[in-house]
This record gives sequence, structure tokens and C-alpha cells, in this order.
Amino acid sequence: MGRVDDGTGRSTADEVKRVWGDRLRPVPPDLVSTRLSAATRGFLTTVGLPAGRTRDIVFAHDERLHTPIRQGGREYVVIGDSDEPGCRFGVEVDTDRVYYLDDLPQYNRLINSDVALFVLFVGLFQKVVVELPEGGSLDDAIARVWGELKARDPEATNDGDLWGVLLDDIAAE
Amino acid sequence: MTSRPNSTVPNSKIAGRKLLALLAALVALLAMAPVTGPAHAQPPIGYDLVPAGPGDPLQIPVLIYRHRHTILTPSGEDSVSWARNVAGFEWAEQQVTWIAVAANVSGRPNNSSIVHVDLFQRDQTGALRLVDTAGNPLLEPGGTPVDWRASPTSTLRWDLSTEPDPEVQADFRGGRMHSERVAYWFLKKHRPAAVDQVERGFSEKIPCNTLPSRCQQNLKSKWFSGLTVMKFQTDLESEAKLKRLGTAQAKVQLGNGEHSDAVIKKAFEQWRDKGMPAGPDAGARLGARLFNAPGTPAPEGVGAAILNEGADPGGIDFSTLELRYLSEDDDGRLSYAFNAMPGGTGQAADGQIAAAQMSDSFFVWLALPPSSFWVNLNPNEPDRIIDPELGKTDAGRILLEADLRMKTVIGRLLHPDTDTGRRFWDPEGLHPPACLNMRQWIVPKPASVREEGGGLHIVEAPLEVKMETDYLPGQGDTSCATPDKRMETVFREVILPGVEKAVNEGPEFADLRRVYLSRVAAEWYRHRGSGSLKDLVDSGDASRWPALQQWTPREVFDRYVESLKRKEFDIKRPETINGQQYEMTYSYGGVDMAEVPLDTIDESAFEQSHADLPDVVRDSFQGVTTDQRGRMWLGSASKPAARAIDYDGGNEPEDYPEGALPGESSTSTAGLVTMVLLALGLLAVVGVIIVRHLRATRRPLV
Repeated sequence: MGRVDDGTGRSTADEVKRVWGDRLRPVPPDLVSTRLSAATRGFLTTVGLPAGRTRDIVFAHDERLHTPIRQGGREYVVIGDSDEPGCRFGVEVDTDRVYYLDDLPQYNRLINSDVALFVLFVGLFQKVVVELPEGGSLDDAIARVWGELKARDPEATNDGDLWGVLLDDIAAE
Repeated sequence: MTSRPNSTVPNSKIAGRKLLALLAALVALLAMAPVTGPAHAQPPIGYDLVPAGPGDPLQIPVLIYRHRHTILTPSGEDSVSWARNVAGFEWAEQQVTWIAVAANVSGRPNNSSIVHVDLFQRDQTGALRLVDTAGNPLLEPGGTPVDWRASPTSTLRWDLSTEPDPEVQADFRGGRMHSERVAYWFLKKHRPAAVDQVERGFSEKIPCNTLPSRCQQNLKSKWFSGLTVMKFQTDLESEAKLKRLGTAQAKVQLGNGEHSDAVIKKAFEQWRDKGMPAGPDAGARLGARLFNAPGTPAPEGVGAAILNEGADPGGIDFSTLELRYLSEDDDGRLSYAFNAMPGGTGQAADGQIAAAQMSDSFFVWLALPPSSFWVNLNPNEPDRIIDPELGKTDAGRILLEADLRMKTVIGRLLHPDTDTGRRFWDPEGLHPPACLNMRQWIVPKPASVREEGGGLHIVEAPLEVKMETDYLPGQGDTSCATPDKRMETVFREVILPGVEKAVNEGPEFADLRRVYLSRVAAEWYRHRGSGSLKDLVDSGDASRWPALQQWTPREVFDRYVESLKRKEFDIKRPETINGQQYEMTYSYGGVDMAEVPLDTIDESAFEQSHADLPDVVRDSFQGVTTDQRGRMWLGSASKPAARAIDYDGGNEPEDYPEGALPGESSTSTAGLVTMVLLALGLLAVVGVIIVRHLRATRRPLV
């Protein structure tokens, strides 16, 4: 994938593996839509998606990865569901970007600029912020994830994009 | 490659190409004009989303919640930090108002999973009481009623980590338990019928429209189907977000306390510093009612600053606060100035109530028809006390209580132990059967006003106390067919002036004079026949200005009747003459403000007596100003008819800075100007092309 390496020598795929460990499940190639770019397909089939629930995300490991859906005039491959009824996560076929897909397309929002970064930041969010040890500084945890996001995926740091919303939401406690 | 010499191209075509090029450039500029649209066109939310001023009735239970669960519970898993949001939702069941208040709760594993929900009922006096889910008074474990000022015991201490409902669990674990959703789930489980009855809500922070919670959209579409209005205290960014962004601008805002957390905390502190008012007058005490309406911009000016903040600058007797100036500009901005006597004992808190009474009654006098502006305390007419709509307002209460008070004053003046009473009861002059019609009415005298520069100066607004025989000749009480001439003369010459003096000068009638000044201002506004409030005139709906204290006309009437029974108004002559005991009983009558004659002072008279007023009023908007008569003036401005922020309709709120409101569909002023100029330019170019084309086609072919 074009953004797998952030230029610092670190491989996003390697970091994804480090963050998620043995929860990653590579997707069988025949389950992955051929409409996706080679980079996205490569990540899904070699690194894979986490198994099980993460906060309110359940990643897809089935035929949903095979058949793109159309929403709001755009084509997406669903890679996970949200607990919020009707809300999903999908890779936009034309751009490789990952979006939060609402049942109302007006609410769709960019999450990350590719699937590897998405899986990485879901993991970082979970481990650094959501599972913050008791007594840990939430401000610091949020700053760390946000700093990583700004460094690695600046496209996903515009006001109103999902990560900012999620981080602010969790700070309000 | 070949080129064609320019000389072969007609000049008209060159000009045409230049114009076309210019046209293309303008079109391109139009396309690039700085018009910002929403990133995501959002569907209607289906209810009014409006900012709420301090003291909104729904804010009070939220403030009480803060007191109990933030202040009284400063730490630990039960504590609600300032970063969290608190929201309240109101509904009515069988004429009882209920309010559920809850905070948001995190789904983080190492964070507290406890959320407290408080359930209130607003009783008939307008006071709030904590109740359990069945509506019974909330009790401490020992059985004593919970005192909200001293105890954090809540209606429900809800540990969401042990909640068996999988849907609630999913929302909790998924981090979606915003305060709105907590309130929804609480009601769904404990008072399910209320879910669809919720009409109004109040949230400290503006409900977000962001994923995954999308509270703004879901509030009505998924949770509270009957919701009509959702108010919010602040739409500023949170402290956490500013910290996260870390930009120079964010740092400035953090330094200035320009974030939601600070606003919420400051509002609480102001409420606490005013003694935590929680009754129906709480709104006025927090400065919520000053010639503005829900959702409209906050009043500006020194008067608003003093009265809204309740910060007493000293040296002003706020118990004498009176409305003495009103104007409205073309933009619907009401400018108004109060004056008050210097010194005295009236505190700014008194001024808040006084200003709220004048403000509210101004709108009431506009909204209801003048034919309804009367009150009548007559023991034989319990069904004709007051107009039903006026009877729901403070103006109505003040008129009715003034009527009752007038009877007391008359009783006092007629008491045989007083000088006036002795003259009235002069035994030498009493000739049985002596009787006198004892009905009096408080009515307006002509008000002396001066219109200057489009504004109204209310110079004098006296009231008059009339005998019913004068006020309604040939009508009313006929029990005394032949009034005793001497008694009537003494009554007219001695008693009535005393009553009138009390009405016009006595502190016990100060609130009557205040609402009457608003009546004068409203009458002037009515006469104008235009203005931003013209649709309010005679609309018959004064529900937006309910009484500052819960009251019923019947309760005042019953008090009056009780006084009659106790013979408080009976005036007995001390002696019996010719075997007859003389007894004067009952003083009936009322207050009638239906007719307000405005007596315009001509320019020269105004110049002679009040030449300083225009300057004094003008200066009073900048600072407290003293006139030549020693009265102190405080000016303010409000925009009561300004459009409320309406996210549903996507309109632009007035007087809010560009970009201050998240999610708004806005076109910047600069962008708009650019667009208009470009559009005009485009039209001009098209016009030139058309004209030239027409000229060219008219040119003879040579």
C-alpha cells in the first residue's frame, strides 16, 4: 500500500501486527473483492483484520468483503460493522480511503486514508485510550494518539473527521 | 503550425473574445468564491435546537444535578466531572411536570460505570422536588426526604457495567452513553410512557451530530418522538478538544476560558453565588428575562450587564427600578432604559425581578387584547376575577394583588383612629341612613410621553383611583341609591387622594407602577402599527412569559374573601347614633388598564423640563448615568424577535459570530459580497455582449 511505510522506516503493517498480536486474521484471497486496489487486497490477505469485538467495531471476515456496496453514488467494500444499527465501516473502492458509513449517507465520514492505518489506529485507540490503566492520564493518551494520527495520516485529522470526534467524546468523562 | 495575423480578425470579434474571456474568468471566480457549505448536507432534525439563556427553567434541575453530583460528590466513582455533559428532559403526565436529569457515562473499562439519574417534579408553586421513579418524594435510606441542597442521594444510581439489558450494554461498551441516551434508557426502563411524552430538553453542551452517537439526529428520530425543542447552554468547543488541537488559536481560547467546560462551570458558580434559586423566579434571578426571548441573542448594555450578572455596583436603589425609555431600530433591536433612585436598600437581585416583571409584562400587554386588561375582586363575582390568559401572568397577579392592597389601604385610611377616618366618620355630620358606594377602580391617568428620534420617553405615568360612580356611571353597585353627600365629599377629598398617593408613590404599589409603565410602552408600540413584534400584537398567546411565581387568581380571591370574613375591611363607627350602629363594609372594585391615554409633550415643553433626557438615555447604554433630577439610568438593548438558531431549517442565527456554531450551513459575509459583486459583474458582461451583439447585427452588411 502507498502509505504502508510512513517514511520513518516503520512499516504500518508491522505496527499493526505489533498492536494487534494474534488477534489478526488474514482474509482468504477469494473472499476479497477484486474491485479493491492491489495494496488494500494485499493488506487484507497478508496482515488481515482483527477478530472479535473492539469497543463498538466488529470486523468483517466473510463475504461482505467480496461484494462492494453502493452508497451515495460511491462504491465501498464493507470491512466491519458498528453496534449502531445500520452503521458500517467501508473502504472506498476508488480511493482506498476508509469511511464510517451511516445509514444516512449525509453522515458518512472519513476515518483513515487506507485500511492499514485504520486497523492500526483502531488498535492504538483501544489500547492507549480505551484501555487506559487506572490512574493514567487520559489527556496524555489522547495526545499520543492524536500526535500519531497527525504524523501518519494527516488527511484524517480535519475538523469533523471521526478520530477527532471519538477522542473528544471519550475525553468528556 | 500556422498563425493568423490579428489584423485579419475584426475588432468586434476581438472585443467579443475579450468579453468571453472575462466572462469565463468571472464564472471561474464565482465557482471559487469563498462560500462555505456544509461538509455534509444534513437532514432535518425535526425540532428546534436553540441556545438557552441563563436561568432557563430546564437549566435549574441541571444546576441542581451539578450541585449534588459534582460539588457534593467531588471525587470517586460517583462524581460527575465538569468535562461530562448533563442534560434534562421534561414532560407532563396528568398535569404534573416531570424532569429527568442525567450525565453521560464512559464505557471505558477502567473508568466509572456509575451514572446518577435525578427525577424531579415541578409542583404547583413552581418549586422542584426530587421524586422516585413512582413519583413519590425521594427519601434517604433512613426514610427522611432528600434535601437536594445537602444530599447527593439520587433517584437512581445506575451501574451500567451490571446492566443486564444487552442493548444498554452495547451502548455502554460502545461509548455511546451520552447524557441524552442515558435519560432515554432510564425512562424506557422506569417510566416507559414518558419516552414519547418528552417535549423539551436542555443540554449543557450542544447535542452533537457526529458519529457514532449522532445525538442531534437521534434525539427525535430514535428516542424522544414528541420532542419539540432542545436547548443548549453552550456550543463552544470542549477544553479537551482545544487541548487536543493545540493550535495557536486553541491556546488563546484555552487561556481565555473560551470553552464549554468553563462556561458550564461559570454558570453554575453564578447560580451558587445567588443562593441557588430553584423556584419560578430563578430565571429572573439569573437574568434570563430582559426583553429577550428563548433562543435570541443575549441583551447588551450596562443595564443587562448589571441585571444579568446580578453584580450590584452600589448606590442604586433597585427597588425603584422603572422602565422610562423604549425604542426599536429597523433591525428589530429594542433599546430600553430603566431608571432608579440613588441609594436606598434595593439590591441588584430586586432589580432582576423588577426588570423581568417589566420585560415580561411588556410582551404580555402586546400579546393579549387590551379588553382583557382588568381585574375585579368582588365577593359576588368569583367567576369574573380576571381574564384567563392574563391570569397566568405576573402582570395579572400584580394587578389583582394591587386591587387587594388598595382595599387594605382604604380600610387603613377609613379607620376611625386615624385623622382621615375621624373626618370621614364625623359623628356630627352623620345622618342615618348614611351610605356610600364603596367601589373603587385603579385606572390610568394620561401618561406624559415624548417621542424623540424614534424612541419613547415616558416622563410621567400616573395612576388614578376613581369611585365606581365616576368611573362607570349608571353601572355597578346600586345598593346605595342616595349616597351621603358629606361622606362622599370627604371620601373624594380626603380618602381617595390618600389611596392615589399610595398607588403612585407607595412602595407597596411599586410593582403595579412598573407593569403600568410597560403598559404605556406597549401602548406606544401598538400605536406604531409596525416593528419586529407586530405579529405578537393581539396574538392571544402570552405563554412564553409565564408568571415568575406560581399563583392562581382564585387563591387571591379566596384571600380576599377570607379577609372579608375576618372583617378586615369592615369599618365600624365607634358610636351608635339614634340607636343605629353605622357600619361600612366591603370595598369592591378593581384595576383596569384597558385604556391608556398617551399625552404627548410638545418639543418646547420637553426641552424646558427634560432637555437632558435624550443624552442621558444615550449615555446610559455605556454606563450608569445620572439625570438632572438625580435618578440613575441603565440602558440595554435586546432583539426579542430575532430568529432563533434553527439548525433544522439551516438558517443563520443573528448576532452570532461567523463559524461559532458547528454544523451550520453558512455563507460568510465576505463570500456573499464577493458573490453579489461577481454576479453583478457577470450580468454587466452578459449585458455588454448582448448589446454589442445587437449592435453588430444591426450594422449594415458592407
